[in-house]
Amino acid sequence: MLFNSIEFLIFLPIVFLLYWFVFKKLSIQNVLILIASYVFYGWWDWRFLSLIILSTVVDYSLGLQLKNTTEKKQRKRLLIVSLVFNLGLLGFFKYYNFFIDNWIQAWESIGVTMHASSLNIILPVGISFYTFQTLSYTIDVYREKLEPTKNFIAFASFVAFFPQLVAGPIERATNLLPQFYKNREFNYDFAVSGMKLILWGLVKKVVIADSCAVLVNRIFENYQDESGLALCMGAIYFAFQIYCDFSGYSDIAIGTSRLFGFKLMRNFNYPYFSRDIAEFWRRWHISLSTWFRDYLYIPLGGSRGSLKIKIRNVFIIFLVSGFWHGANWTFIIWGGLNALFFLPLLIGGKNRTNLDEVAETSILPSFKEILQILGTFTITTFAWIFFRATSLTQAVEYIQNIFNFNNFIPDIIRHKKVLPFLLLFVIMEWFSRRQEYAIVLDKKYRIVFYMLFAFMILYYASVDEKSSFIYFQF
Amino acid sequence: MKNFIIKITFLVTTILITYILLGFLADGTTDPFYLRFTSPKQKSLILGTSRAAQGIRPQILNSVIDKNILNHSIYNFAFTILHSPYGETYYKAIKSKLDENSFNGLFILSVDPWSISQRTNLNYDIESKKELSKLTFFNMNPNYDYLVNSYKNSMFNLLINKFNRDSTLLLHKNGWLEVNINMEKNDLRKRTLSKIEVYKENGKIYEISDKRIFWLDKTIQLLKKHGRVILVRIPVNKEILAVENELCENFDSIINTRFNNLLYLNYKEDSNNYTFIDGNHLYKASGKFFSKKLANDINNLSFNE
Repeated sequence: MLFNSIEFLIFLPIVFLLYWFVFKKLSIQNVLILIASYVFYGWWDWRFLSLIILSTVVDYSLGLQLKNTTEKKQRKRLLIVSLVFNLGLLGFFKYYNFFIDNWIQAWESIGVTMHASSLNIILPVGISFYTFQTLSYTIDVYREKLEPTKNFIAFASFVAFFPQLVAGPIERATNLLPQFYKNREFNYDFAVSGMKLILWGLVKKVVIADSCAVLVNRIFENYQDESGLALCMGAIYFAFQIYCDFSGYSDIAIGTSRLFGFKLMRNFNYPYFSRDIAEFWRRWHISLSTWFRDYLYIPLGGSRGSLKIKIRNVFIIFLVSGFWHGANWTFIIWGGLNALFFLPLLIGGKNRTNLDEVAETSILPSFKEILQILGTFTITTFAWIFFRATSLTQAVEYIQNIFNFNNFIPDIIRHKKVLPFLLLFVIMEWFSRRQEYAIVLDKKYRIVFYMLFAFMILYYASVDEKSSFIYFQF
Repeated sequence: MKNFIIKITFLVTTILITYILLGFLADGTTDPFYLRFTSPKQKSLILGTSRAAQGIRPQILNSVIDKNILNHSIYNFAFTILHSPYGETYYKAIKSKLDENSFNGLFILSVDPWSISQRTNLNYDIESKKELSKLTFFNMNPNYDYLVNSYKNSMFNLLINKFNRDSTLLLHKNGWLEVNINMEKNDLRKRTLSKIEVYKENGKIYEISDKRIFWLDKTIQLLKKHGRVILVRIPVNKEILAVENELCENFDSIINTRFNNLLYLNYKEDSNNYTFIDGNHLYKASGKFFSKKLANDINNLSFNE
């Protein structure tokens, strides 16, 4: 079920009313959330519910076994079972064909013909997200950071919690699971903030991301015939498309969970105002970045040890992050590029210099900050080309064509529908950069704005198939 | 909680009322399909692809055909090659549009090689992803099912259309699609050449399909229970016909053999008598002329009953 669909518009109020008015007992509310989450997911394809249920049962059982085992070796074995199971599940559904194809190509490159066949595997929606979520539970229990739960319904609800099941934020068991044990009371301000987040998330998704998508698709599909300027614009539009699409989804997810009294972690923090790439990664897809930091980077040694070790760890984390996004070399290169951009900061010991807010004491950024922001945005956008391209060849040719100055023709006509919105969006985000979301408005005229936003969503909403969220494919 | 519910209800109600009101603005300029899903169930139908949608005018058939053959209005329920080739989707749509209580209807089925062909580069029926397959309600006015699930633009476009009408396509209440297009010689030639190219390309990826013939047969069997069925091959220009013949040279014999008990009016050789907007679709004036001829020919048929 899509957040920007009629089905969800009907589904959400029904669950909301049942949750607060019919089932007031905590345990029943959890059951309702679990059923609602399975319906929400099953709406796409009920067969794949079995994977979520299997993942839930396995990690729940492992958690209980870890509680009953003090022997180190045995505990390690149980953790390995969880890692093998979850990563195996992910590996099979997401990477099987990638490995098979590359294996065949590798042999063919030395003249050996291999006969292995790719399988027609459907990628289950959200598998990258819920496997990481259940993994975080088992790892935290193993590390004794979290008491394993005996409450299966609470655990199953944590794994399948519908607002964030399909595309995150990837919640930690330490944050979300305890919220299923506590009585939840309706809080007006909290629910209102949730509605504002939903509204703003939909504006980002429907008005900006989907408008950019039309141009991005056109430019990337016809990149060989487009002017250099159009290709630049295509990359910039994609930067905004992916940000508004994904952060829009996160806002709706966080907002929806607030309607039920749950607080999810923040996933985006105005990343395009970052002054360097390290700051960007502290502000972009925070739930994934911190997941990799806590469960991969730190265990590898993190920033401790020699420079070689540090560089190795940075590359591992970025390449794995790229690979997590999809079984394609384009994502791996995208990760590798980000690692390269990060390297100078790491070597110079400057990867934690911009921890404060940009233009903290002034309305506008300084000239230096403008240059830093533009520089960071440029390299990020450059890397996004690989992320968006369907193959490495396309990405390389796309970049080559940008620098074809004979064909650098301005073409403003087709951009006029999108550019004003992007400018308005950037201005709104800038003036809201210290707030949780960009539509904290003055009481006097906020209702007018909310109505305006609602009608903008309706105006831009279409039945186009492109309106599903980008991150559903990861 | 009460305050929250009141505010949300107010917001949702405002949006719902706006949507409901916008629905009333939809009309024949909305798109080339909408109006056909707003009329009541029909006793007599014109079926087929865009050739029939544009080329056969119900108004003329209603006025020319004898009342003992057609004693109520006929309705044009033809769409396009992508939406309504004969198949399961179109069959279900016809079934939904058909007045199941009528038994003296007239059904004119436009046939040509494309309408019983399948794309070879797809492993599914192309129409199964389009409007007709998404619809649940075929006879609702305003049709919110269509406007919400199938209309390609925002519903606010219905309001904008009122002030900024595109007069190229106008769908009439009887289902006939009127196309108003520049018929200046150069433009016409350009359009025709482009259409021939499109069909040549289509010829590479289409092939006659037993499955579609099966569904055409099934459609005919359904309609026979409710009246008389006539098959019609609408004229096209010679170049398009040549492409068609390449796709299926023995089309007429397939029809005559498979449906030998049916009346088949074949106008494929009549292209000299008509003007086409692109070689493939009859110009509206020619459509008028063709519809008259078709009506007169129907009057001269002897129905074996």
